[in-house]
Amino acid sequence: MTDHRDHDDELGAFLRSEVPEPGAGYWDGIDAMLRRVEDERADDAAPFEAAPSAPETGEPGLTAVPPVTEESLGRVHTDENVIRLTDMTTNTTGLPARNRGNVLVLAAAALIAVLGLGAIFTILSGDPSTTIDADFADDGTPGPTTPAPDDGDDGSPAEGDGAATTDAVSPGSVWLYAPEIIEREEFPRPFLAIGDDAEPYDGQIWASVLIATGEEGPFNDDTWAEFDGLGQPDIWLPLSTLVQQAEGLPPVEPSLVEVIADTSTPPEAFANGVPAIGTVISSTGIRAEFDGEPWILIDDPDFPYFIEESVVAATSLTGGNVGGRRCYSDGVVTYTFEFSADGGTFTGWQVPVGFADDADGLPAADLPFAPGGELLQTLSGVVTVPEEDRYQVLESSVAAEAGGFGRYSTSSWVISADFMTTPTAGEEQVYNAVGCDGPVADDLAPVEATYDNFPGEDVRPSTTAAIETVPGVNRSCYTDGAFILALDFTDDGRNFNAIQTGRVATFSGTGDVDGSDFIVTELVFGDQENGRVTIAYANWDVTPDRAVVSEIGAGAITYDGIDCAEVADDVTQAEDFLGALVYPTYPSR
Amino acid sequence: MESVDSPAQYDARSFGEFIRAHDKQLRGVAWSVVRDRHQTDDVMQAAYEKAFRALPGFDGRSTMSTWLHSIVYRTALDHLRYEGRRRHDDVDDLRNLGGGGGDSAAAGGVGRVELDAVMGQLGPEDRTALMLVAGWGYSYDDAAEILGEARGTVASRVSRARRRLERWEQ
Repeated sequence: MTDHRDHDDELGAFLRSEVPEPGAGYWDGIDAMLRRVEDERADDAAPFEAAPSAPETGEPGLTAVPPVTEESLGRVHTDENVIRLTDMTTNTTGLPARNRGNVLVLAAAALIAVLGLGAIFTILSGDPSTTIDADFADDGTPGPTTPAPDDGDDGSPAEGDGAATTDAVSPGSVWLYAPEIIEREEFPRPFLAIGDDAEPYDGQIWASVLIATGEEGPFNDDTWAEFDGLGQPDIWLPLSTLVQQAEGLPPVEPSLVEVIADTSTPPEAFANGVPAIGTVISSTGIRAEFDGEPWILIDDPDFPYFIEESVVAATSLTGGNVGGRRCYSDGVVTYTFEFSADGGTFTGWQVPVGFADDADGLPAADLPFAPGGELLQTLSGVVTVPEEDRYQVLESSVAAEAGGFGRYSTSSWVISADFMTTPTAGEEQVYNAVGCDGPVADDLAPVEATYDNFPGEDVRPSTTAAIETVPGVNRSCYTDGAFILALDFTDDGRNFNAIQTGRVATFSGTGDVDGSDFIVTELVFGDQENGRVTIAYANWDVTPDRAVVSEIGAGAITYDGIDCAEVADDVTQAEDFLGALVYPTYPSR
Repeated sequence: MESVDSPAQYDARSFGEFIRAHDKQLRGVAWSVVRDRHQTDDVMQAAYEKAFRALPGFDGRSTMSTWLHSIVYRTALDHLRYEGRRRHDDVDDLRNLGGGGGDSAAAGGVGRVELDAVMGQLGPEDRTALMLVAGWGYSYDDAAEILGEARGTVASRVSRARRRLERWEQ
């Protein structure tokens, strides 16, 4: 934390100093703009009075349009599946003059093909046969089909275009909405919105399209897409100042919209439609839902972060997913996925990592990407469930979620835990947990899949546990901090039966003791119905009073149906015995 | 000015005073997105106009400052995407390859120019989140409101930006 503050002091100073001072005339221009807007406000006392354009002055003209009221929402007229729209900009709408007269055409195929709306949306300039009738000239009359070149690099069409096309769609068929309505975010859903940014470019008409599909709420819940005149979707996220709702149109399928917006997901993943939430759609993409919002997870090690707001990247999703639980993190939020036995579906949740709700609001620490690092830890601790916040960071930077199942994070790793009971606000509870950190190597699936409640309250907060050998007892116990492996050796030390606690499976196997090396060639967990674990190999350095796991390899594990609670006694029993553990160094293979 | 009974009370003069008081921070948002001095000016003017027009509809659910930041941010993003779509190449772009564009950056030596370049490699959303949180000291919650994103997303952006910068420092 301290490092971050120090760093932020320096960084903040740099960031602030980097902001350039405004250029000459900046405030003069703004003041003039404010006065102009204020004058226009005064004119709004007669908002529906048509006024001629004033090309000679370059000032905006007025075009008679209906009043902009919320009641106007949904009053778009459709005529033979044609939506007529022109972005006639008037003082009533408060839209910038620069876009006045722009008329756009969106090919029907664009929305049909991409949205699947089943209707043809063509935005016309009044004459349905007209494809482009844009006025980019300064003379106040409808302009040519080829616009005048832009006269500046300020992102706007040609300056001085102040005249609306008077031959455009008749008033009543087009309803315009002012920016302030957008700001209030008072839109019913779904609706289709066309941006005021339409303009010819590169032989096409471009415009932004907003498809709002969710519940009423912030715009970031919605999806923006852009379509050119050929129906090619693009990602462009404009702030529209011209919004129009198409009433009576088929509802936009939210998932389809999401697909449109998501460029990171291979299109073929959706070839047969949008997969259900919680479905593994490809080796590189997972469609998930968190907090009621759709997410797409992609597998791109080079970009293991958020791609877009609704997209989070995870490290390798291939391999080790079957029946397993995987954790991913971008350093701030950790995502945990529990895959079905066939690897085809999963349930998942996200956990904010290391948030410290202290004064500066900075994360307590970053969760480092540590592939191949320590994978498992156990924790015990006390969690205070805050009154209001869903998570709270305590002294040990352990956050809790109010619920029967808790996910917590520390400054370096994340744990998953079961509460004994559902905590309530303000209540302190002892929990037991098993944790995992961020990305997990594929060959460690059994380990990272370990997720079991340790019965009782005594869970060692260490990944390394040393258990003394009890002479004369042929049971050796080992733990990596997450589960305990108990080996009952035969007298000759060459065979054993084993109980694995914590993972709640018993197993048996054979091994050879040869001097200091005890090599387990294969351990098969005994409960074949509930699960099978194959440990490809394990190298043990065994001495009369100490056994050291030097290396362990791992296969896959399925653990559907395993009941954790059944092994409570085994935990105690194992601790009564012997063994020693040096936390295994997992090979990177 | 933050707590007005009615946004309609703002006239051109009082609104001008308000934005003058907040312009530096607001410019920081626009700058973080577009990374061009002249475009920053364009964005600011457009955003101020948008805000002033929308002012009567401002419901006070957020602070005026937060509301303005949000408008500037979205206007800047809009502008950036618009420019990107136009495949706009000009001298400014070349000038900005090293990041910066601010006088202070140019005067800061090689390391600063390099840091500018690193900043330029960040996404506009990440840069803005970093600017808000690390530059201006906004809380994650406030930054999230401005950016219209979830708190965790903002935190992630800031964290990611920090890591990029830390890697550069190493």
